[in-house]
Amino acid sequence: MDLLNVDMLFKLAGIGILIMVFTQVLNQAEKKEQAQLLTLAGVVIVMIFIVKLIGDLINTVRSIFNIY
Amino acid sequence: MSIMQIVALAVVAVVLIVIIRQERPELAMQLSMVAGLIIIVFVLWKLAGVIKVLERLALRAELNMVFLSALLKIIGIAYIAEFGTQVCRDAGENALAFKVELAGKVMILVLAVPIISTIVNTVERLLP
Repeated sequence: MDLLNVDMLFKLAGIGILIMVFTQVLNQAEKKEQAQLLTLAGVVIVMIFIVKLIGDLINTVRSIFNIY
Repeated sequence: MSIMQIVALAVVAVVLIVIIRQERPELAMQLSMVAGLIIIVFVLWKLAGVIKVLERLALRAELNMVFLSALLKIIGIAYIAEFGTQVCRDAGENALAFKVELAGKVMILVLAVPIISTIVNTVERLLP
C-alpha cells in the first residue's frame, strides 16, 4: 500500500479515450442511441473502480485515525 | 522523493483529463476523482507514521488517551468530508457540497462535546 498505483489511472484514462473515440465513430455513423449506451457502459465500468478506490480510502482513514 | 511522483502523476492526470473533457465531461470528472483518490491514499499512508509517533509521545506524557483519539477521529472526519465536498464541487453540485460540509461539521461537533464538557467541569472545579 506504500506506492502510488499509477496503473489504475492509466487504465481508466485508456478506457476514457477508447470510449471517446468509439462514441465519435458511432455518432458519425448516425447511431446516436448506441453511442449513448456506450457512454453509459463506460461510466458504469469506471464507477466500479472508483467504488473500490473509495473503499480503500475509507479503510485507510479508519485504520489510521481509529474510527470505527 | 515522493513529491516528484505525486507532481508527475498530477500533471499526467491533468493532461489526460483535459483531453477527455472536450468530448466526455462525465468521464473526465471520474478520472479526476480517481487521480485525487490515488494521491490522497498515498499521502495518508505517509501520515500514518507521524500519527504513530504522536501516539507514542502522548503515551509517554501520560495524557488522557480519550482526547488524542477524539482529536484523531476529528482529523479523519475532516479529511473524508473535505474529499466529498471537493468531489461534489468539481462536478458543479454546490448545494450537495455544502450539505456534505455541514454534515462533517456536525459530526465533528458531536465528537467535540465530551471535550467541551470536560473543560466546563474543570473550570467549575477551579472556581470556588
